[in-house]
Amino acid sequence: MNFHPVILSCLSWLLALWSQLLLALTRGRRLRASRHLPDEILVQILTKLPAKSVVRCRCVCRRWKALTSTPAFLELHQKNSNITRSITVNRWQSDWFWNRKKSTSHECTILNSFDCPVLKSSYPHKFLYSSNGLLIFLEEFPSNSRLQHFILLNPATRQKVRLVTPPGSIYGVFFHPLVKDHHQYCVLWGEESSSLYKLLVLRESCYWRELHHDVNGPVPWQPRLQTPPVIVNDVLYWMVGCRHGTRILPRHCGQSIMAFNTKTEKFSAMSHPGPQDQWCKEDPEHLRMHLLEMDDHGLLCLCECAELEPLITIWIYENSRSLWIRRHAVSVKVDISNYPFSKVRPVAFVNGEVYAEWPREVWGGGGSFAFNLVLGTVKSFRRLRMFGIEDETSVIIMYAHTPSLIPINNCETEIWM
Amino acid sequence: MASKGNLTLKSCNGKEFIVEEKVAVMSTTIKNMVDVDDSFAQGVIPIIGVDGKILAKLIEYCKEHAEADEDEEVKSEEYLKKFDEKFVDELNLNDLYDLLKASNYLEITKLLNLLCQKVASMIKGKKPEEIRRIFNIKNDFTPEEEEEINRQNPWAF
Repeated sequence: MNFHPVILSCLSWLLALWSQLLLALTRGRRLRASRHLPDEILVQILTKLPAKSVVRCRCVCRRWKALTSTPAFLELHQKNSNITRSITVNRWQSDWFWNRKKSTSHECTILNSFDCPVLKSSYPHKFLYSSNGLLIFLEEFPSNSRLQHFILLNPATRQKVRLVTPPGSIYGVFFHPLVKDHHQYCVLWGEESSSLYKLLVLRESCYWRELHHDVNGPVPWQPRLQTPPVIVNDVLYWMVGCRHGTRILPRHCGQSIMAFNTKTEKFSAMSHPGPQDQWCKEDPEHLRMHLLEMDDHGLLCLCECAELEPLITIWIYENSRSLWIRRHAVSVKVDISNYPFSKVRPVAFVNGEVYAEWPREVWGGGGSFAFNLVLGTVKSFRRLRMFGIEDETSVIIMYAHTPSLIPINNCETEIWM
Repeated sequence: MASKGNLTLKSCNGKEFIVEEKVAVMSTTIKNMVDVDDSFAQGVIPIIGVDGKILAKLIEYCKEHAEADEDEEVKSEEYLKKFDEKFVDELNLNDLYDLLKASNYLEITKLLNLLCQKVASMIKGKKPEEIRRIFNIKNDFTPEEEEEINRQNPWAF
């Protein structure tokens, strides 16, 4: 139907009048019902909400927006959300994400999925990992480019920042411990040749600061590809990677785990637990070993998947004695006749259960399961059906993701080194 | 006058409730009053700004929980959970607000948490306009501001 513009404007004017009239009629009732809660109570309520709901609440009215944007609110919310972890399932080179709920049943529900227009560009993006509420991507430029573009994206606040660096890797993202009251994201970056390390504090003036690393100390080797660091008590830990382009460089088992203390800004090296035997020669990246944080207890642990049987050994790192202690050896009740158990990738601890994943190539579609640490009982999650957006080339990977409302920064969207 | 071990609470509209001390001291505010000044334990404790209907509700909640704290066998955790669920489900929005304010003032932490959780569950998963409707909130953004907000949040809505 086509209306004359004059008729249209008349109609909209009538509508506006009508709504004014309705407002006037209901004003009396409204005044009586619109009781206000004091700010302190409202803040308590809003901090109990997941990040996505908080963002929606910011659109309700000015008061709610102001209350949910203060540093004190953000900090309180961060504390609450550290307790509830959700698992995000992501797809390689893709602009789709799914949040998957930890569930008691065998079926996982898709909590939300979103399409990120910010990632749509002429170059594909490789998803690296999730760290402290941020998703980290690498834009895959033509290989002749000598620069790398990382994208940090906060799906809760929908902010993103692009970091342009020489070839190297992002070792991790953390909150700087010296300014903890006002959470600020901090990025640790290392050059490809492992000789230059820089720190970026994302705040109003963004700058890269060079780190002086002890030449006599251990070389802080790059992390394994697409493996998020584990941050426990202000220390970043990561498994050392050996892939250097197409080359595989031998590394010493005594330096298979690296640590960066964010308070002292010093690197240190650790050995992995267990024997250093022929398996290590065949697997210099120690792909059967995975660092995790033990159930938010502030304990660093390492899960080791056995090669030939469905057995996961869990080691706890005792900081005071610098020792790995063998804590659990769980026989996981799964059938391994079709795939090697060594390919299993433990992802997170959630309420005494370890969430783990089978890579797609070995298990007809990539699956995930959770097993009970004490009993070894398994609940496996059925593969998610993705409404036709799934294709043969896609790979689904599972990561632990704790949503965060902390803004990335307030200024630039592109930061050059 | 309350007998020993009992306290008299008086609402702002003059209604008096005689409750056991263990029930009344679920409120940290009342506990502090009784601890500091013995005369409160003898006489009547005025509860400012809380009317009789709300005070009765508060006492109902505290009674159940005080008894459970004393003897776990009488009231199991499961029973309390069911009681809590029923308790918050029966409230309308005005009572919910009044109870929130009263439990905040009287520092009944358990109840305050329960009520906050209830309100949070009413907000969770809702769109801004739904939240405004439920809580009777006026949208005070200018059309330009609203457009800006919508522009900033094009996804996940």
